[in-house]
Amino acid sequence: MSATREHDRKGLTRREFVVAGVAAATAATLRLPGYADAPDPAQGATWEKGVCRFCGVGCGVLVGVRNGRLVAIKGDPDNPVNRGLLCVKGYANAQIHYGADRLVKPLLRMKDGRWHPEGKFRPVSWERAFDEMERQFKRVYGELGPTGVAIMGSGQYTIPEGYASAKLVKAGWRSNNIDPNARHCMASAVAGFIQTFGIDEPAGCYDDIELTDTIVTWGSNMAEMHPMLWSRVTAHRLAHDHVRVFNLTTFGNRTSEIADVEIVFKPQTDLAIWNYIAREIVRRDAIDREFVENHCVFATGPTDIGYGMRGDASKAFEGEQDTLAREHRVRLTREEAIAQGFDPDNPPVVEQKHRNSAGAHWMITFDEFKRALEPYTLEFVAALAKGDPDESLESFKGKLQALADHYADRARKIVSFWTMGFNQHSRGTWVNEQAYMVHLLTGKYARPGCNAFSLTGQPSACGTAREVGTFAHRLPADMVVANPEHRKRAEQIWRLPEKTLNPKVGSHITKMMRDLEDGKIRWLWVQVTNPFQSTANANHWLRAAKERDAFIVVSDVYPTLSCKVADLILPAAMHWEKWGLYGNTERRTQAWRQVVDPPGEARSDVWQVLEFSKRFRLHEVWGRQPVPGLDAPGFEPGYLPDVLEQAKAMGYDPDATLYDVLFATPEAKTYRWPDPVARGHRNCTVDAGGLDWFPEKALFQEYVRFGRGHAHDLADFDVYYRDDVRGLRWPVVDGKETRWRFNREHDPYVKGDAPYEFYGPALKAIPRGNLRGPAGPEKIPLPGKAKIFYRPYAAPAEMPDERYDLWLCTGRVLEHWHSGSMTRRVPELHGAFPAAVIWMHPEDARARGLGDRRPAWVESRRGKVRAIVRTGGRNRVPRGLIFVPWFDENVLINKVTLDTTCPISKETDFKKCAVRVVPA
Amino acid sequence: MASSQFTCSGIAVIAWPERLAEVREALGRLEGVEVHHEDAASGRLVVTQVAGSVDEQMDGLRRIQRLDGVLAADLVYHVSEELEA
Repeated sequence: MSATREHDRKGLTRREFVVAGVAAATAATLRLPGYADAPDPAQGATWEKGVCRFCGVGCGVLVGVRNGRLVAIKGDPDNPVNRGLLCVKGYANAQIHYGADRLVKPLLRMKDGRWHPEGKFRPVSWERAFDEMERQFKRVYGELGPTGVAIMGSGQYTIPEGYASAKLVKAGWRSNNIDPNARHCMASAVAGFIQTFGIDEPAGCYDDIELTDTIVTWGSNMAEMHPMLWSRVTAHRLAHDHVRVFNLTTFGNRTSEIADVEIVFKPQTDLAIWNYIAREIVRRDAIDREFVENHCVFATGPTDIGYGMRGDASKAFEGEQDTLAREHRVRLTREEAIAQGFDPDNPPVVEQKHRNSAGAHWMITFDEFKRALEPYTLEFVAALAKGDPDESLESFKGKLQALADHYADRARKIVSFWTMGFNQHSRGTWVNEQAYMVHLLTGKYARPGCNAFSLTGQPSACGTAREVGTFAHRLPADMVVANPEHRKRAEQIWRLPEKTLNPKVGSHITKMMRDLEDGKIRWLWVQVTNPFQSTANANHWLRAAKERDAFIVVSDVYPTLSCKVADLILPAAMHWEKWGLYGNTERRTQAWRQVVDPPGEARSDVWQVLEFSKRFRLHEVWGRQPVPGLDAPGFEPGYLPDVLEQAKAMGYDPDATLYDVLFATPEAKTYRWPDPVARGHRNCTVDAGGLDWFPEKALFQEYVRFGRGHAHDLADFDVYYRDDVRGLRWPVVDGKETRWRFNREHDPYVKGDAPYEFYGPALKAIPRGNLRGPAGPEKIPLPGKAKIFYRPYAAPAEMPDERYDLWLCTGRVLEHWHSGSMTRRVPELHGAFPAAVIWMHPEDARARGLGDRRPAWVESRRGKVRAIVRTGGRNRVPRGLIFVPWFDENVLINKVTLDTTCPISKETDFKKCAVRVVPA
Repeated sequence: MASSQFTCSGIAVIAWPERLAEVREALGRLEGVEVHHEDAASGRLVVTQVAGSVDEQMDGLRRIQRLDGVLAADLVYHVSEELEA
């Protein structure tokens, strides 16, 4: 209304007025002088703060709404994460809500008016959808018990969503079969943190970027994958001449543009490079002795741990047998023999005796540690690790030396960043621990400007998947189902009878697929993820989904590949259509209000979980339940006890529903709706449920009880919605966030007088031993200490050979995010990247009769896909390696990849397997 | 009355400081792009980009990112308007 008047008054066209206003608003956001009072060009829009959902950085976004529609986006200038800047994915915050193919009605596969696995999708009511889900669930649960059902969850769950799903699965169904796609993205980081520090998530924060002198990226194309952090790195590098940037990668990428040194290494040899750096630190006496003596111990673990592949080859394709055999028995390569202290001329055959106890570890002496590093000389490591055949060995050696110089320099602060190159690694836990090894040896950790930092890919992989614990082995706040004390605490907070919770770890997400193939899981609910596209070795799982007697439900906003194999599709509310909170990579919890309504009959995931929980009465789930393999003190082998009598004694009616007992509890209902914090905003969960209470707030307020007093303290729900709050980094104690954990000056949980205390409680008693094994069962307590692990170089499960002569590395590209089910809605974006490509060295292409933009097949032992060869562009791969992005369901590269996982973290290695490329 | 979509974005560009002039010129040659402000010391430019759709905006931002001498091009502000024709 006033818009017209204002531009008319100034004699401008509407268009000119908007352009001038956008320029001024942009300059004001960048805090350029003279623009502070510029009028808002999005006139008539109301603005609301929130957080972007397209990666783990957690950028602050302001969205402008007019007439119930998202019409404007700006970077939040008051958000310290991104300071008013957004990457190209920022646009998607509005756009993504309005794709033509949004799912707006439940769709059930039907034939002749009934569900049928070969039927066609037909729109049905929510009532009908839940009826079928319930019928199928109860049939499977009755036959198989709690292990027969599963939820695949997500690092894109909001905190209340993840918490509701985990509580329904663990407390309601007494199953531990909930595991997130985040297993594929940061499980190795988690295992590294827990084993090293006894507590998950990084010590430092993004502030370290501006406080450091040296930034090293390892297996992380930060420029394209975490662009806002990269903008901060770039600005810091340009403003300070002494700052140095190293990029370690298996192929040249955009991150190298600002790097002072690019180091292209051969896949898997990062393990050897870290040990070379550690060896140099020891050799040059660059150890921070005081730090190491007071705060660290040395440790190691078994090396005969397999590759996290199936132990049973009965379902394997013929071509897979040779790779799969390595899961049990392997002859070490010459390089492994050297690296592990064996005779290189006679490498031993190793039985993988510790494939089911890969995480075991024990203390060693410094002298043992030093001895273990001896083989990692510059000569050995350079020859092993040089990744570009066209680079000279001397050049590569010089770069490794420069890298070691920077880590060893006592005067230099240093931050190591890594992403999927480390975490998606068949020794992912080890390589995370090696980063801490070098940072701890030099005392360059847990202090401003010094950090070793796993960057997360998803917006709440930390906040939800990890902190809420939507994993098969976890409970909230770093607790685990296998620990009786932890189960007891959870049972108290959740008001459950003793022994309701199942002590047997459930199936991780890759194992869920294997269980589906084996008929062990026959009811599956997929939430906020697209697993049939994102799981390696996909031919097996796609076939299993079609051929097995399993009922698959997918909740999503758009039709994905996983929807195609589903029996029932449930339409979900998108980001700004619901209330939510996310936790980013630097422990920052941020929140947003619902600002627009979901379309059609789309409903929030919280509503879906709560509504489905009404379908279960206590006597259906809290009786005696079979759990094959359950073996825990106080439990009948193979069974969970009947807890109904205890439940009655606690005042529960066996006919009460899980909705009443788990969600709509008397305490939950004290969080009333409407609530002043909403400021008139709607809540689609409340609307759809006809509720007079506020489920998202009730769930969050219950959840925070787990972490408070346990170094995971979060603030109250309402605090995150305050106008002056742009997220807070936990632990939040006395209203204050924590920037550097374990550091007495910054972290209230450091109680003693020492400057550092690694107080994490997990795995803090281990035996003594030497490089070959533990000396005995006696465990030594290590309160307050971090562990410096020695981990050797180990070859991957599969390497190029005569038949499959190239390394395949997969990953993301800037334009697409994860499986592309959201970003690929954007037609032009799609046009810019119409189909996945194979990035390939021009000589490799020529040698195979291929050229730029020619079609080709990529083939492995497991499957093949057709894609377009690119020999130029922004990714410069060395000879011998190809890179294929994984977003395109028409180029389903996961049919080719290998489902090897880190045996400790169970995270898949999507970064290396052997393939050949032939003309199509 | 017919209406058409009109979108405008504010974009912050960081260039290598010694290549600022070259980047400014290259930006000026791009359709829909206007340079409004530059800060020589930090290599920063304030740019607006007008396009018909959000899709064209995203493509346009990537076009800026690909220019020689550009280190980063980030979105700051975006608005979609229905203009009466």
